[in-house]
Parts: sequence; C-alpha cells; structure tokens
Amino acid sequence: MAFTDHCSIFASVNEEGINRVARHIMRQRPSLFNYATAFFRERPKLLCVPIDYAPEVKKAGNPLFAVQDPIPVPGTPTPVGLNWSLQFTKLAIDFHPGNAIALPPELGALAPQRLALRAAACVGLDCPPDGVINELIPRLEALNAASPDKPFTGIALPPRQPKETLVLPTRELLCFCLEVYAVAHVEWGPIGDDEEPWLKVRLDGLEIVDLRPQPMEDLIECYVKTVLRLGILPRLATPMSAMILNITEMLQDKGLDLGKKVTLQPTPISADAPHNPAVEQDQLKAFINLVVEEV
Amino acid sequence: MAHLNVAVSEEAFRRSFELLQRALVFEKADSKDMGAFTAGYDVKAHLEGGNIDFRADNSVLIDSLDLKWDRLKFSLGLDIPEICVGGGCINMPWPIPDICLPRICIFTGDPDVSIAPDLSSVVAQELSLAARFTVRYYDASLPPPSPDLCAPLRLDPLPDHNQWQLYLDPEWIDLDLFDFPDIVGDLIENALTNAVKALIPGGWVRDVILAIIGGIADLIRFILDIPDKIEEWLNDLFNISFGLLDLIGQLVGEFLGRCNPVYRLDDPLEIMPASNGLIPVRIPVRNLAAGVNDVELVLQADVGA
Amino acid sequence: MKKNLTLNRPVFEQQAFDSSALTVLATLFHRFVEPADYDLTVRRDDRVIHRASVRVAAEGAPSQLNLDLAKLGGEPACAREGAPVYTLAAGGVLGLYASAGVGRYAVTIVRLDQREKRIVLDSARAVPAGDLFAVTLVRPGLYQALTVGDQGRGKGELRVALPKEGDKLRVDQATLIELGDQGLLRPDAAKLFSGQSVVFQCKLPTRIQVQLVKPDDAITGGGGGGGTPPPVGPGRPPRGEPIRVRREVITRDHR
Repeated sequence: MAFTDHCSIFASVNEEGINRVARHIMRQRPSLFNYATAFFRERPKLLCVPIDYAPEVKKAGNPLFAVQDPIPVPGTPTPVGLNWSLQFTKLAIDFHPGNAIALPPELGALAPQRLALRAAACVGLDCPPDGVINELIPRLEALNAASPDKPFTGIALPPRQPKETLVLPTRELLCFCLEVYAVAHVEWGPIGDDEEPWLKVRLDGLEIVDLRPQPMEDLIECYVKTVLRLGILPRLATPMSAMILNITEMLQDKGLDLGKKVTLQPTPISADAPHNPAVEQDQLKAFINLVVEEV
Repeated sequence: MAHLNVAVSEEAFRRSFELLQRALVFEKADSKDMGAFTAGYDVKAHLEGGNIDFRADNSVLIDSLDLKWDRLKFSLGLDIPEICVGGGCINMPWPIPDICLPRICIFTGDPDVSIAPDLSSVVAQELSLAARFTVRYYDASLPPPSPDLCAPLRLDPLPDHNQWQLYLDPEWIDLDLFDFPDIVGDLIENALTNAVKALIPGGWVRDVILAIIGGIADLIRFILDIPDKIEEWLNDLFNISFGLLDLIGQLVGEFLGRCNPVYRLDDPLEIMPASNGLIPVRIPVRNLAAGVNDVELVLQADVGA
Repeated sequence: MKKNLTLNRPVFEQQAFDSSALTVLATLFHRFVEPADYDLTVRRDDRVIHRASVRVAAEGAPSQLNLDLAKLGGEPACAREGAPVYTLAAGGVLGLYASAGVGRYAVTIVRLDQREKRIVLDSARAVPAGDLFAVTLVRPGLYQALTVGDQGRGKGELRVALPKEGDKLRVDQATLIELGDQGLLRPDAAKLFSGQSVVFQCKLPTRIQVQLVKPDDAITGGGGGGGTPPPVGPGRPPRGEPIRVRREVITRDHR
C-alpha cells in the first residue's frame, strides 16, 4: 500500500522528529513558553529555570520571555506588586498509541487520533524578605493614615505618580514545578485571509498531578488550560506547506508565471482515509491534494 | 527510521515536472563552411507532453516528450562554380604544339546564392529519457562554480542560503533522428533553383547557361555532392554534421540533471513564519534521501538536533 | 541579380567577329617559329595600351602563353625599359584574347634581332600564315564565316545549336577548319554547340570574319525566362511546356 494511494502528497513526522521540532520551537520562540515581569529583563538568571534560546533570538532582539504585569499586593494604599514567572519546560509529545508518556488515570488511555503532551510548568514568586517589608511598613502606614485635607508630613516617599505600581525588588524567586499532562488532537483550518490551510493543535484535556486540595488543583488546571488554549497553542499553528517541507514552493511560483494557480488542500475524508490529519502509528500524518487551476 | 517522510504521487510529480519542462528552451544558431557551400541552422525548440512512469527499480521513465520546433531555419549558401565558354585544347599536327584555348567566364565576381527556409512545420521528433533522483546539498558559503556552465540554463539564481536540491538526473536520453519528409527536398530544391534563376537573365541566355551547367538541379547536386535525395542529405547534415542531436541531448541532461532541481528544501527549513517581529522558526534538515517505487517519489529526512 | 555579381554581357552580345579587331570570344594565336627577340604592341581602338618583349628561346621555355588583352592598360611604356618580357619556346604559341569588355584590339609583333625590323604579325591587316584564329560562338543560330586573302575569298557556314534535352554540354570541344589555297575553308560547314569554339588555321595571310546571320529563336525545351522549375531526381519526368522567353533584355542592349 502506497503513501499516496488516496492523495497527491503525503507527509508524516514521527515522535522523535516532532520532539526535536518542539525543542527547536522552544529555543527560537522562548517568549511563547516563558512569562515573567519586566524586572527579569536585566536579571534572567534569577528565573526559576534558565532559558535555553537560539543565538538568532538575541541577534534579532527578540524577547526571551513575554513580559507580564506584577502580581498585585491587595490592600495597599498605593499599588504594590510582586515579581513572578511562569515557565513551560521539558515538553514531550507522544502520538497514538501512547507508549512514551504514561498519562495519569484522570486522562485515561490515549484515545485513537490523539496525542499526549507532557511538560513541566514552573512557577516562581518573589517572597520579599523581612527587611524589605519592615522598611516599607511605616511608609504604607503613613499613607494609610493620610487624608485629603491633612497633607502628609514626615517620612518622605520616593517621587512617584499616584497609582504607579511599586514593584518590590527581588533577590530570588520561590520556585516550584508541576508536571502537566495533556491530551490533544490536530485539525486543519484557515487562519485569517490565508487560503492555505494550517495545522492546529486543539486541547482535549489537562491534568496536573497530585495537587491538594482538589479545588486548588482544579483552579490551577483551569488556569493552565486557559493559558494553553488562548495563549500558546494558537501560536504553534503550522502552514500546510511546511508539513511537506515546502517542496511545492517553486511549483506554486512558476505556476503563476504560466497562468496556473497551484494550491494545496487537505484530502477530503473518505472511507479509505477516514482521518486527516491522522495521529497513529506514532506519527502525525497529513494527506494533501495538489490542485492546479487555470488562472 | 527517518523523522520526516514526504511522498509525492506520480500525478503530482508530473505537475511539477511539467512546469520545469515548459521552461526548457533549446535555442542555437551555427554554420559550417563545407567548402563549396555553407550550411547552417538557427533553431529554437521546447518540450511538450510526455508520460512519466515511476519504476520499481528506483528510476523514472519519461517518454513521448514532443520536441516542438518553434524555429528550424536551415540556411544554405552555394558558391556557384565558374561557368565559362570556350576552353579545351586542339590537337595540332607536328611540329605545331597542341593549342589550348582560353576560357571566357560568364560571370565576373563570385556568384553565390543563399536560402533560409524554415522547416519547423514539417519536422516532429520525440524524446525519451530515464533518470534517477539525485540529492545534492548546496552550501552557500562556498564560492560559486567557475566556470558556471549552468548560467545560461538556470531558471532561478543561485540561492543565498544552504539548500537541499533534488535533481532528476538522466541516465540516458533517446531522441528521434531528424527525418525530413520528401516535401522538404522539393522545397529546398525549388528555393535554390529560384535563387539561381534570379542570377541568370532569361531567354536564350538562360538556355545556354542551363545547358552548360547541365540544369540547376544537377548543379545543386554537384555543388552539394548529393547522390540522390536532398532530404536524405539534409538528414545527415542535421543528424551528423551539425551534431544537433548531441547538443539537444546534452542540454536536456544538463538542464535537468545539473542546473534546475525539481524540488528544493531550504536548510534550515522554515516551519513557522515570522510574526509580530518575532523571528521565523526554522529546523535543520539532515540526511535527505530520495527514491521512487512504481507509484510514488518518497523523500526522507531527519530533523537536526 | 546579386550586387556582388556581374554578368559578362559581351559574352552574350558579341555576335560578329573580325580577326582585324579582336573582341571577347575571339583569340588570335601567333606561332613563334624562330628563336629571337620580338617586340609586342597592343592597341585598343587605335590607342597603344601595352608594350612588351617576347623572348623566344630554343628550349627551356613554355610552349604556350595566353595573354588577356582586357587586363592590360595603364600608361604604356614608351620605351622598352621596364616593359614586361614574355618567354616562349621556339615553335611555341602566344594566344591573344579578351576575357571581358567591349574593346577591339589589334596586335603588332616585330622581330628585333635582324638588321631591319620585320613585322611578323599585324593583326589589323591579316592573320599571317601559320597562325590561328579562334572564335567561341554562344548565340544559337546560323553563322557565316568569310575569309579575305591575297589569293581569294572563302565562305563557310557554322551552325550553332543547344544540345538535346538531358545532354550535358561540353564547351571545351573545338572544331578545326583549315583555310587553304584561295581562301577555301575545309570543311566549309560545321555544327557545334553553344559555347564551343571554331579554330581557323591559316596557310596564307588571311583576314577572317564570322557573323551571325540567322539567330535561332526556336530554342528547344522549356526552362526559359521564368516559370516552374523542372522536377528533379533520377527518372524525373520531362520538362513541362515551353514558356514565353523574355528576349527583350538581350536584344535591346545588343542594338
């Protein structure tokens, strides 16, 4: 049985290949997997996990992490924030049948046409030392005591506009890492006005192992799921032509010169090819038709 | 097992090859001095049609490619030999020596005629070839080839980055011999006859000259040294003397096997485009291999560490 | 006609020949019997255009030299210094002819090594005994040959025709006619093909004239001025019907 029995072009990547691809993506788009406050721009070594990045990232002036607002300290008379970080590392992928990643029971066995993901989510939070707190308390007490018709006198505060967050300086983060397991599937779909279909990853389930109490686990799982669904996975979409190593790029360019429009389209689902893309036999497979039309 | 597999069906490959084939144009002009005449050609041709057959022995057979002549001008210039009257020697009785009379020639100057008919509409040939896929790695850091024999044939400029290139490298190329039909012989003979006649005034003068030269047709055959049919002589000229078949075969071989890959893979390969100022994501491609079975072309590669 | 090509028109227009005024298609052969030095003078239309010396040696020289009178010219040497010297073997022949042009030439040869100059050839008067006069006849038709000598006059008939269809013409075959006593021609009639030559051998000093009296308009076969060319190849079919010949170009110029 040939690869192209039911399509013009067939492409597949196996688990080892996809894990290498994932590693390259993490090194070239570190800001997709690392989030932290601006404080760490000059002090990346204080992060929980050193960021492994490709030299081109620095050369292009791309950020190593996506800058986030500090976590606010509620109740202070003037905004006070804490530095923090969230980093996804050690990403591994296992295509159906699942034989590389042991999913937790909550996610069950890896279903057909599904892929398993495992990653470490490392969180870091600045815990201000007593010295800093003690230094700040009188100022905040004074601010608390001050009223609009009684100007504050005495201890001088640093010259700052009102409402600007005071971010406490960080000497080190308190870090912990959680093992995150997820189950996902892939599908074709358009993005914006681009005619070419894109390969998209859709999350089906997520589990963080052994967090107690359970509601806390649920809460964190929900948050991580939301981060993945809205933040990370949409930015991992890959164009169809990349699946076939861009070998038809010349064909498409030359075709236009000769009055022919050459496009790639997913092969329609059929009894012979019931899944497209397919996740099976430890591979991600794509079945593609080459369509040539007169312009 | 290779990390990446891409398979291309015979039909999909045919589409790619068709576009490459359409860009293949053979154009050449040359002439040879054969002494009593000069013969030359000014030709332009392209390929159409063809059947592609992937074979189980890892080869590709492409046959029934039509070699279409856009221009097949055959130029022929004849040096008309001296046409003279008188001459000869007369035997005289001894002691008078034999006396030779001078020849008086009819033309002063060097008469010649030339014709350049376009034979493109009467010639059709087919080309077939068998090839294997060859993978080559283009290293952009190395200096370009010198001399660059592909420069006149290359469709796209050399890339400025590293690239895997897949060529269809012919092992053999068969090309039909030139086989001009009878009508071509008549066409050339008529054209030459008219050209010669244009030199000669009409009336009894022409009769005399024609009688001396034994008729224009015989004159032409004498100058060209043709035993019988002009079209057969023309076949030999194109097939052997001009070496056109060799030139075409060489061009097709170089065009496909050396100068224009049918597929290219950039290394590193871009899998995610640049976005919002972020650099594109590229993966290194290693160990690209290509082979065919009787239904598809299969490319295999690894993702570099 | 191509610009780099010129038709030698006199070849087709010259239809009257006179040994006393050499033109295209006419050749005078003078035989030098005795070794000596000779002076050669060539005149065109009564103007001297060339002087030369002819040295006739006993042996060790060529037996024939042909001199193209149409190629002579420039300022003639007034004195013998600087003039060309032609060398011939005793008994050899100097052929005098014109390859082109409409000039009419006369030649004088004088023997120098005797007490008195002796004119051995004055072509304007006659072809001396032992010399030959040749004409190449191109225009098909009937020519009359007339001879005038001290001993009498002679007349002869020359019929010039084109070869039969399919026969290749050999123009290098000449016919010899002896001019005997009383100017009689032997034979007094000859048939030849266009482009062939007749050579008159003089036994006595004679002036010879040949002229076309009846052009042959019934040219055999087709292939005249224009029309479809004959099919070619072995066993080809015969030529088509004759087509109207365009004669006006030649005849008008001839007048």
